[in-house]
Amino acid sequence: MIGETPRLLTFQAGDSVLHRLDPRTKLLATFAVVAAALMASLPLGMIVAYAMGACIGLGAVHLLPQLWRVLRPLLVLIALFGVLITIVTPGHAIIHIAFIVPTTDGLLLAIRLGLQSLLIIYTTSLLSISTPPLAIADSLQWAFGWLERVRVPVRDVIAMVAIGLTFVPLLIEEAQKVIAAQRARGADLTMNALLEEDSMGALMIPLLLANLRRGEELAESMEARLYNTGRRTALHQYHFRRIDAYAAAIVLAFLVAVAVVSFVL
Amino acid sequence: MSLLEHTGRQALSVDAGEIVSVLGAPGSGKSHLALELAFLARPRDGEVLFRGANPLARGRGRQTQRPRQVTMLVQNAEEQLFARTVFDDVAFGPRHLLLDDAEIERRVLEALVAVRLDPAVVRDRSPFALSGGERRRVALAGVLAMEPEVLILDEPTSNLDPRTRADFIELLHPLRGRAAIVWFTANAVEASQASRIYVLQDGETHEVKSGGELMHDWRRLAAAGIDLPAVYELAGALERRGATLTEAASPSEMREAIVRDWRVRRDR
Amino acid sequence: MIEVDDIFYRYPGSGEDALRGVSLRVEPEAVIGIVGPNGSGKSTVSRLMKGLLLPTAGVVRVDGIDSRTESLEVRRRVGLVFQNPNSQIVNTVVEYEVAFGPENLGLPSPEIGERVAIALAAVGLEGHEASECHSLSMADKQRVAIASVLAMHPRYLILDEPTAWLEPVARRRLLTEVVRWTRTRGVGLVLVTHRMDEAQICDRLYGMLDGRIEMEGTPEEVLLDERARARLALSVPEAYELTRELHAAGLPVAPGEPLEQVAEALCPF
Repeated sequence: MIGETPRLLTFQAGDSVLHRLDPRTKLLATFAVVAAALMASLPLGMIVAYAMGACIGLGAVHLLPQLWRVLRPLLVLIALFGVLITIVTPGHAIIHIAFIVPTTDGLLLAIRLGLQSLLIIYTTSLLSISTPPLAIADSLQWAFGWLERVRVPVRDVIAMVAIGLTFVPLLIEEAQKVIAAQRARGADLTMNALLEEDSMGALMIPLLLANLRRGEELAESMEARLYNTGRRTALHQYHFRRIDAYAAAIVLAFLVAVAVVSFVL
Repeated sequence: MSLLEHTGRQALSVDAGEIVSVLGAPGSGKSHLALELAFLARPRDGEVLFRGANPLARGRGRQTQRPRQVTMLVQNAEEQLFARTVFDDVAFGPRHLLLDDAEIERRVLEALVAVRLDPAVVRDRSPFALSGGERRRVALAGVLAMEPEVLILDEPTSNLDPRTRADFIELLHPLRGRAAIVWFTANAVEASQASRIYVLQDGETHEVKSGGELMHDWRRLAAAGIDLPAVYELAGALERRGATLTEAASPSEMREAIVRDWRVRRDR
Repeated sequence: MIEVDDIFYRYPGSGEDALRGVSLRVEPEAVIGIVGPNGSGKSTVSRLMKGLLLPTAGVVRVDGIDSRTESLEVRRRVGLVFQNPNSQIVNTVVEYEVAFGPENLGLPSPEIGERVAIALAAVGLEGHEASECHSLSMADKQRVAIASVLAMHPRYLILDEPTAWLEPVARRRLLTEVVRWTRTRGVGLVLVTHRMDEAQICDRLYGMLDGRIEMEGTPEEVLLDERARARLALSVPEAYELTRELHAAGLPVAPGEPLEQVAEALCPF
């Protein structure tokens, strides 16, 4: 059924604390959370890491219900993977069911990976909801720009990612249109039918064609506006303010806490 | 009991053999209403009945079978073509009806003829080798090959240059013999050619019995942002300056009213 | 001035020429129209004038600069707005999108802000700086696309079907504003269209068919030629026909007069 375009992880304007932070601060905070998630021990380190996440979430409380709705299906996916990992990892067996042998090592690994993934996805989602893709791109540019000196095409890669993100709502809208068009002439686009080659083409080919063409035109339009022909300036300069210092301090404190709890305790 | 009916604020209905048009300015919600009628979107208000029954009433969440006798040509339909040959693209719909090859062949050829494409010439060509106007005809053939009872057209002439547009309109009208047609448009002249007209404004439909009655109400249409012939623009400008124009049921009558009004004022 | 001299162009991989010997001129401050059916080569000519494509034969010169030797300079001077705004907008937020061009020019921040504000006002989108591009209507997206090129202050501006997505009422307003912009700045304007009402505001029209210029003349000359109109797939010039009929009925109306003026003439306050 066609509904409103789902506001997945696309940027939404707002006035929360997160919105007011400099995007570079948010990017660094995201890296910090990832680092924390990866080094956290079970269970204490992970608890502190989640506290860190909760604290960040406080910066945009009204967005959380929406985020939850979007992330809920991911939980199912993570759980499924968790089950798989539990079974596949060799180690101390819990129980034998035919040839399926879940192990405690597997279970621990599954839990750790699951918690890490969840935290990372949650944090990056908060980042993309509260930050315009272009600001994220600018922050990435600021963080990794120095790599240009060693010939890494940072700017181009970032531009591609930013533009891709911009187009997510449009792509969703177009997919819905193609689906409607094909269903209007009797196509059945449920998962079963899609696996049948015919129907998959009916959905993918129009989308691919339209977007390949668009890619060309977009490149032309950017070239037409003289992209990449000289030094770029920016409409909005980013400035670190007091609120960024507080946020950075809080995040740093949590990071240290996770490290201490995980490695010392 | 109508063949297809929408209850609720955007009420409308169509019967076999009719062409009904829905006239609305850009942004008035035409496309969504079209999707609702085609059972491709849940109605925001009221329900959509096919032969008096609501096929979406049963089932919750599981994909219910939308009636295949109701089809729709979406806007810019030429963008939905995907198959290797024109034949395969047009046959896509009928194949889902589980018909035998002979019947599919018959329907495809017949549909191509109905859209004025020569089957012998186009059937094995790639759809992408055709012009935009031809591709839209192929898309229409794909829908006609389903032999639907109701055909919904969402702005079928949008984005066509004037010559292609006129050709396309000419081939649409005879189709009323095969299926009931609901024609969505933003252009008043196009809408006025239907047997009944619904004006979609502020989320509601308002039925108008004929083209003449539609043009009578030109002031409201102009205020709604609907595409009207140039003469009404002049009429509006004149009325803003205090002229009083007699009622007119068509653009040419409107022009005569303007002439008459001027003569009356001149002779005073 | 943009000088297009006998250009030919063939798309790579194509078996035939898209343009066969096209010549035209765009003077500063002029409003030129290029009309013709889809596939006649109008968009190709636009791209060649902009310097995005180089002719396979013939020359394109902008202010004396040959596009083959200095295509960057040509691109700097000529602005081009494509037909479909969805294939041009790269940013999520209106302000960023309109600033994209000036940012590429390396202009200082405050100047960029000024240009953005003026460009948005010219297309009727003042106050929309913070709006999300992809949740705008097609009409507004088109305005954003036009604004993003205006903000670069080109010396020549080519608009490809600029009002295709606009509501009927808004069409004239946008065109009037754009023409005012170009005339006050001495910018040469090219309208690529198949709408007669857009063609009518041009000083001169070039009619294209199958990669060639079929005719050149003032809008009136093209309008009077019914056969040319049919071949070039131009819409019925309703307003023009109306003024002609009124004139024939004895009213003090000149054929081709804008309708507001006609109303004034028929019913002065």
